[in-house]
Amino acid sequence: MNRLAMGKAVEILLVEDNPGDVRLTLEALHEGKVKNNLAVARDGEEALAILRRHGPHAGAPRPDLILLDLNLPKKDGREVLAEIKADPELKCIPVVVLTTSKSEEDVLRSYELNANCYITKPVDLEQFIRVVRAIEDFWLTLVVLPHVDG
Amino acid sequence: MDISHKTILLAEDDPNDEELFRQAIAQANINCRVEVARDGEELMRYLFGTADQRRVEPGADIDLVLLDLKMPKLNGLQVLTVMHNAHGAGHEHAPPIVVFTSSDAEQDVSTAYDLGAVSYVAKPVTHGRFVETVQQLVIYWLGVNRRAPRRRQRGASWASTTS
Repeated sequence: MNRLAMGKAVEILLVEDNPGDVRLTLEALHEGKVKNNLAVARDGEEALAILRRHGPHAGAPRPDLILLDLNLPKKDGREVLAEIKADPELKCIPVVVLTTSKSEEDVLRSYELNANCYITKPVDLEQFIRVVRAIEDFWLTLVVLPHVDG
Repeated sequence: MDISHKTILLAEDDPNDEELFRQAIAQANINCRVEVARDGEELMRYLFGTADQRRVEPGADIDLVLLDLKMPKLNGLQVLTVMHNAHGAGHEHAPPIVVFTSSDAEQDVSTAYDLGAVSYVAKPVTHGRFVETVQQLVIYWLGVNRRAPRRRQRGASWASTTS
């Protein structure tokens, strides 16, 4: 059963170090149709700490969807993706790679690491918001997300 | 958004659902190509070729696979298992597989994700919702998502390496 059908807010984890992109994503999702809670991790280590509920993140809800940038401080997005997909408790959470990188190598590597989807961030502001809305429309309204414990 | 050069492989045994699907994309002026596999074995042949004509790169000519779970011969979860076991054999080049099925049983959903389905969409029962869902789904996967690049040509086609 998906969260939406149960009337719960969808929990999203955004892993993004660029404050401008965080703000835009928040705005786009805030104005969207589906009730959602967005947690933000500013680097790869923080993302994994939230997902594994370490330290101050002990009470963090398990996200239903992860939006992951690739180029991040401390721990790179590729490593974060590899760790998520190697963790039996986390691997079924869909990961949308959302990055400025257009490199074929990054696309291939991401799919090799079992990313669910790869989207290149548009540079144009309006296009960026349109893309976040498209992600929201698809993942939060159409998709049946897997049941994640917690 | 021009997606006319792209191809969807619809794995669907119900001709009525195929017809609805074609109507839905026509209504949205989505003019991509649609291939249909009526059962899991036919789908496997599309992706991997036949025993005497193996494809060098499974599914290279397909941009999106829409997979019904209830299909004759080989069901959707069995198809996903085969694809999953092919992991490491160029799996990262394969087209995305989206489950599009009438079941939303929790077990089916989590198994499908575990086996590498990139997303899971339940077929809506009403006609209007079905059409909208198909349109959104196709636009997202063919227009917004970036498919894995095909393998680089290594100078020889399949035909020339075997002749």
